[in-house]
Amino acid sequence: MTYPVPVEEPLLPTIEFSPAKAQLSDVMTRVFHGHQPRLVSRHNGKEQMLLVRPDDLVSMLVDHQFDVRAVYDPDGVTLRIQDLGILGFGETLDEAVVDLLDELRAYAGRYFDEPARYLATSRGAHAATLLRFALSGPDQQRTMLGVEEPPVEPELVAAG
Amino acid sequence: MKTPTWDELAEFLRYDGWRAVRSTDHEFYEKTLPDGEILQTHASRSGSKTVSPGRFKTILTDQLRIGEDSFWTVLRTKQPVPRPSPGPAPAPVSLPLWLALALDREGGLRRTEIATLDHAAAVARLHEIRSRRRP
Repeated sequence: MTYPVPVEEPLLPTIEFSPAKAQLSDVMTRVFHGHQPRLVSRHNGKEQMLLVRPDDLVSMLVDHQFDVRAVYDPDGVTLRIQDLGILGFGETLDEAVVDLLDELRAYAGRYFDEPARYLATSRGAHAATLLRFALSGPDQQRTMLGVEEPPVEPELVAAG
Repeated sequence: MKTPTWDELAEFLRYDGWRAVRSTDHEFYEKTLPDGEILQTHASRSGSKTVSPGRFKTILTDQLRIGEDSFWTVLRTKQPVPRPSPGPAPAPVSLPLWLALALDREGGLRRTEIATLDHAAAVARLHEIRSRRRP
């Protein structure tokens, strides 16, 4: 069986670089007020970039959050995000949460300062979650730590 | 479990070839492994104070990615850990953050009490706390 070869039409609205530059105000209005992501393209599509409204991107990345675990010692609490290797320390749980958020903000800053360096390693898998974190406000950043109880905790149901 | 002081941890980083990096008012240490992987840690917390056992295990597992024996060998020999390191440290007992928060907020459990609970015991304890509150 043979399949027809599709014509390569971009699925996202695309604009060439020069007209985009000339009509930047209109492009931004469509991206921001119209919630329409736009590809900007040059050199016959060899170089492209995506324009998207930051809060739209945060919504698209809503499933990306951190898996935070608490390790208790008699004299303190350590919060760990194992796959990131990021830890937060505190004498209390609240202190550890604040410290973890500080560590994450610092990591996100380093990550997006030198993205190519991180993307080339297994840390490349952190990009989407860190991008959502970097674009979110303080309350949303805290929510991303998994502070809310999941809708169904199977063991809790079973225990009941 | 024998645990190091923060100063000893900093000493380990020096012998194991970690690089101190300062980035936007935040100091941390970094080591790039032969396979390109980047390890990062944040030492120099409080000098001569001893690191708690759970915290030390977490640092070994998540950040240094070595076993306990390798850590002490580096301090003794002043030579870096051969990588890949054999026998990474087992992960410490931990609870999901929401569960720790619920035990803290709803049950008022002290840190020393929560420290004795594994995941199943913590879930059972939370259920018990919630059952007691129901009319």
